[in-house]
Amino acid sequence: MRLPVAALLLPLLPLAACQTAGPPVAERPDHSLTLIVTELQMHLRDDTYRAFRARSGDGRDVFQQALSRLERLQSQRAVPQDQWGSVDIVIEYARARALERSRRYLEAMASYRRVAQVGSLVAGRAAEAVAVMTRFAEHSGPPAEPHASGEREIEWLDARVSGWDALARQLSGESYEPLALEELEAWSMLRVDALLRRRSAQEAIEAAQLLIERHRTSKLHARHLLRLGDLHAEAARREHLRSRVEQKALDTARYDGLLDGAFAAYELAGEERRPGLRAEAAKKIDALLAAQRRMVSDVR
Amino acid sequence: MFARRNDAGRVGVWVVAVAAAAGLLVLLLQSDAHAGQPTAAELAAVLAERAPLSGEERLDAADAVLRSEQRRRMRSLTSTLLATGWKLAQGASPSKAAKNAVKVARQVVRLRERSAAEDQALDLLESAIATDMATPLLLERHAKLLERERGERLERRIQGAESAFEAGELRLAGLRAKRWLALDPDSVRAAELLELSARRGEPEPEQHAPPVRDWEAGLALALLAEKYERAAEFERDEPDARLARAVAEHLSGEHERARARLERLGAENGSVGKLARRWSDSPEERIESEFERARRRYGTRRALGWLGGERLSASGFELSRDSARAWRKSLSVSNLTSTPLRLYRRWEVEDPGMTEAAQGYLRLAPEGRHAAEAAAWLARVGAPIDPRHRAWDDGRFVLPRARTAYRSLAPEPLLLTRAVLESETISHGAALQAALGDAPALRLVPRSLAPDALPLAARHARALLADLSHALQQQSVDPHGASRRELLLGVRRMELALDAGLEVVAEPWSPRGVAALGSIQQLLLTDGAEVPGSVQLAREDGRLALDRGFGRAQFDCPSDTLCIDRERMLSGSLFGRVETDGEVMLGARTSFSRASLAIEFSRSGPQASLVIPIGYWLQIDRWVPLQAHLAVSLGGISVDPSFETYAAAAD
Repeated sequence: MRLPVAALLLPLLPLAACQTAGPPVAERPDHSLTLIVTELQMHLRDDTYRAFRARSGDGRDVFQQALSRLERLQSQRAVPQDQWGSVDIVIEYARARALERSRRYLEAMASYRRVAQVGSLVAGRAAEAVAVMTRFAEHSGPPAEPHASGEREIEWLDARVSGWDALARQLSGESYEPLALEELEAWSMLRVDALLRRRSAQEAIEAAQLLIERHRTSKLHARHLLRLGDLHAEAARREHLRSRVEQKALDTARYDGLLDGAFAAYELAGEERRPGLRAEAAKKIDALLAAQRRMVSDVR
Repeated sequence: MFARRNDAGRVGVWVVAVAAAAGLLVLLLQSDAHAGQPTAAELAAVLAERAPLSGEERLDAADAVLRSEQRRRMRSLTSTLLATGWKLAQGASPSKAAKNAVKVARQVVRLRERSAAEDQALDLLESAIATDMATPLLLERHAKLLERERGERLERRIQGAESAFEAGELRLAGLRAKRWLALDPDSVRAAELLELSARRGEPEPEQHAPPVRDWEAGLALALLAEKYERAAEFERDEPDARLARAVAEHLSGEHERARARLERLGAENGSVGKLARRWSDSPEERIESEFERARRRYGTRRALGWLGGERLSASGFELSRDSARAWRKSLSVSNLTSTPLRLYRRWEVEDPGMTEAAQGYLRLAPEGRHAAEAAAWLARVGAPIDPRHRAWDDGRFVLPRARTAYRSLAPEPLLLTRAVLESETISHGAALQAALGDAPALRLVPRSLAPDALPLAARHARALLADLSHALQQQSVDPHGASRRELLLGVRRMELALDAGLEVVAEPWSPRGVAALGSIQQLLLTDGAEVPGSVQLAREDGRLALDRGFGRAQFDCPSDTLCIDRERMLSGSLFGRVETDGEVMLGARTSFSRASLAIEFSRSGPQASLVIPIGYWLQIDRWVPLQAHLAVSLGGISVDPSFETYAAAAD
């Protein structure tokens, strides 16, 4: 007597059905409002200036992830603002916080303003946040019109840097301080690049050194050192190129000084604990050594 | 067994004969296989530096580069074949024979591989094309080389795309497949990979968010408003509510209670369990355990160092071939006799990992339970608490000096031995010899503040440098510690410095004298080191060796200096060895035109050995670097060939 295989599997069917259906939606807390807010709140205290932003299990920024989940929840509920209940206020306030940490200050300001207008346990906090976000938004974003000249661009960047510096000092010790410092650091980095493009490698080097001094505790400290090394290497390359084009003797003392600076900066960056940065610094040292070997053998 | 050995011998003899025939055939077909000639690559470099070159000249230079590379590969293959054949004829073990066969096969495969010489040839040809000096032959050669370059790039891209796809790195696989398609637009596999990567890389369809439960708004609002006590009192049994309570407790400072709750929640499935597990792993505990791990590792390394020295300490604790070798080498009698001395001196292992762990600990947990121990460690090894400390001076960032050893563009000092100054090819040699005094060498440096330095008039310095350059090219003086080409470049750099207005001075120079007592003591404690001086003292594989040379430069060329010497026809050294079993051996060695004769006296009687560089003498060493080793002792006479390539011959 031989039974078909399908008949043997029949008793397992109900079990398989349970497996595919899973628990009812209401009992599945993976994307519940509670879970989203809990994870967001756990990370709102993170010092994102000194440490890298937390990542979720799938490698996404936790604030970005919270933002997209909250927006999905909001769009599914589709409740007009004049009919908001406590759930909608909570979603909007959490969304404002995620927007602010994602450095989308204008949107965060609008979101906080809506919460402050509706009134709730968090209305007072939202009103305070509106004031801060307004100041943040003032110092963010691209210029109103393209820069007329390189000097104008540098002046504009100088104004941005000093504005953020003042804000970071005013907010010292508050929860917004890391955000202000991150902004100050980012604008200072842009300024270094602009100085290299618009003025000289030497000025860019000086600005990069100031950046390193001001942001000694930043998570990007080693990255600034790598940049400083690149600037020294670039300045040395320009020096060599100029001597060839102008057919004059290379100032070897100056050239070697710049090269020494590049190696020293890469070495300091290589003392970082993160293996990726160490490897990057080591590769830059190797590349510079190879280029230098070529230069040494390239004698006219 | 004997028959098998005879078979192997016959195979070996055949391999030797075939390899020798192949080497000689290639030799006959090539016209410039003379020892001591500048290599084709050097000629090409010289040609390329002379501008402007015609298309034909560039093609010749490119061909010379390619031929030189091909000859180098053939030479290497011939040497390997000869050595393999000889080993087989001598009855080498099957594993050694197999290893050699693999080596030969690998070299045969590499004969067709693309080389850096092809890049150099392409550069030469492309500059001719760019300046409209290309001939049809040049264009044909260029197209052929370009096709080979494209083939290699394509191969790399195919491998890259396939391996990224196999490793599940879909974005990377997609990018590499696109690059593959750019080179080979008709590739079906590349298109397939691109499509598969895009399809699998798509995000999962978004799940529908669950409806918000009644109690959620209150709990979430309490959390967002930082009313943590209220959130912690929320009596719900759902996993996400319990996680929210744990977080509220944590944020209100109730760390222990929060941790216990998180550990319980870690058993849950899904996101709640994952988050609970991630958050319950306290960062404080992680810091402590990392430091303890580094400390245990240091303790093991130090104990191994006391037992067997540096090598055992460095790799004796691993399960690897290196470790097995370290154990075997370190457990020699002579090394173990140093163990009490190492223990007495409390020999220390250099452990950057421990220093790093201590620095990391103090940065993350300055008040932690191991803080005092970490600080004491750093004080003991003289390391700063902040590893980047050396770049800071009173709050200001100051770049320190680089530690990387790089070649400066400034002219390097040139060191000329007495023999060079005595050479008739150097004009004004007598005047410089007067400046030399009793020192064995004279150093030419741009600018110097040394009191006994002799400033050279610019025209004298130029004449001296021209003489040196000429003598180097004529091979009437020899490089010491660098290649002839490097020396010539160094002389040229010094000339350029003179042109730029720098003053050159000559100052007497003497090598370090007898090795300092401290360094000899260090040599006895560690292994594999050597102490340079007028008498070389070295220790390797448990054996102590003393060497006193004559008839050649008695120093190691200092770093950042280019040294020029004049090899005597006859040079040699007196040497002594103390073996691990206590046997003492004394001897003398002399060499003449790369042949060498050594005589040794030990308890087992006198022994003489003679090395004859047959390949060099017949000027075929670039193809068949054959040397004959003849040994005579009380036990009899033995003759062995060797096929080592001379490093110096390539110079």
